Amino acid sequence: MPERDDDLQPAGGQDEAALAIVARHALHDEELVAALAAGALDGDDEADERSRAKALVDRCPACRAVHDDVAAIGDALHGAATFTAKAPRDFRLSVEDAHRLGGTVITRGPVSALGRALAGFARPIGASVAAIGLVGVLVGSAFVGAAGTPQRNTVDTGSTTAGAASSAAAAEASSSLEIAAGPTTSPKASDQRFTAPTPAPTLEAAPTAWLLIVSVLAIVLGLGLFAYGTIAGRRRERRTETR
Amino acid sequence: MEDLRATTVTEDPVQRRDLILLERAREGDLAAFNDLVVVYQDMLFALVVRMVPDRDQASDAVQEAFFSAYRNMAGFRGGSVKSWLSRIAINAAMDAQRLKKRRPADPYPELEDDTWQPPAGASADPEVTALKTERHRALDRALAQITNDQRTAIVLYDVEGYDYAEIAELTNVSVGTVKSRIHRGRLALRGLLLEKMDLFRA
Repeated sequence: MPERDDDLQPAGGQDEAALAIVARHALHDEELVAALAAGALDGDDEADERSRAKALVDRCPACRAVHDDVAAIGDALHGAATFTAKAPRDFRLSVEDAHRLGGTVITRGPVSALGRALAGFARPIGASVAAIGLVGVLVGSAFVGAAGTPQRNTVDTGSTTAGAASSAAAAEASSSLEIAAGPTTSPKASDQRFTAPTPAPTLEAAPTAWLLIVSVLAIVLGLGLFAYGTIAGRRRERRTETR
Repeated sequence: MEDLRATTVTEDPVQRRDLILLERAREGDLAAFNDLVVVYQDMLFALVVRMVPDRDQASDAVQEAFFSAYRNMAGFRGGSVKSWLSRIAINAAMDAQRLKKRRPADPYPELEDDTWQPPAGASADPEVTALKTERHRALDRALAQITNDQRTAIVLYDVEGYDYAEIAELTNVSVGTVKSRIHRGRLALRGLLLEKMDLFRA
């Protein structure tokens, strides 16, 4: 809303001329002028466009202003190359990065490759192996519990009959002792006490013992894998957070 | 693995040093690769942050570029290590731009003023340096507002000095498109800088 009457007066001669320039310039191709200023019309193929653009720059003050401004911006952009920026962080690669990315000669070994491959699924495998081991220990313990009494009797028989020499087991032990001691030694009871072998394991005891051993090993291996997977996962998370 | 020092004859001590470092890196010397990183990280960051005017994203792109260089250093076929790294960084920057385009809700923040350091020179006039700094700051802010394609073409042509054909190859477009992006981009910059054109005419 105009506040003064002067604002309603027709434009003066200079304003009219400026308006005429603007009106004419509105029909001109600024992109062509900008292309000339940017040096994009220097080729032989662009001769026609170049001459059109030059004509615009020569005749139209607004086009000349566009040309000069675009050229000045180009000069400033060229000068921008001299400005330097400081990297906001250190981009050097860690040994872990090198491993992850395919690694150096050293880190390309099969053991390292296996380790990297394993790290991804070490936790679930470790948990599974440890669980199987635990089941094995429980089953083995149940077997030992069930076969505990006769087994103990057998062992007791082996140890006590060495002294008493009154049962068939003692006779077996005695005969085996003779073989072990050789034919020249006499089967004295005092010698038997120190050199008598433990009785041969029964058919039930041997697999149970193996089951327990394997189960314990499985628990140890499983826990180890689980720990490895956890540590590797935390390292990976830490690396992701720092990026 | 071919010996880069043997196949690429260069008298330039900087290129020679780069080739030796890259050769050692290819043989498994991580420290040699990290020496290259230290030499070029500022330069590559400056290049990328012009194309991706978000410092965090630019940092990530530069890190990705070095990862990519490490992964693909066996494929280096001689020439300038600096150019090779620059090309990788440009690709990483364009990837970052594409990522940005998919998530347009997060607008470009204005560049921090301490990002850029003016050229050092003992004889530099403080007034001229201040003018150049002010001009550069205005230009960077305007650059951040034009389209990714225009900005990439302008940065590569006007700032980094690549020719039209190289930019066309890098950006997978025709030479005509590159030229068009450059002069349209400059025109867009003029529109953004119209009130500050006195800085540029000085």
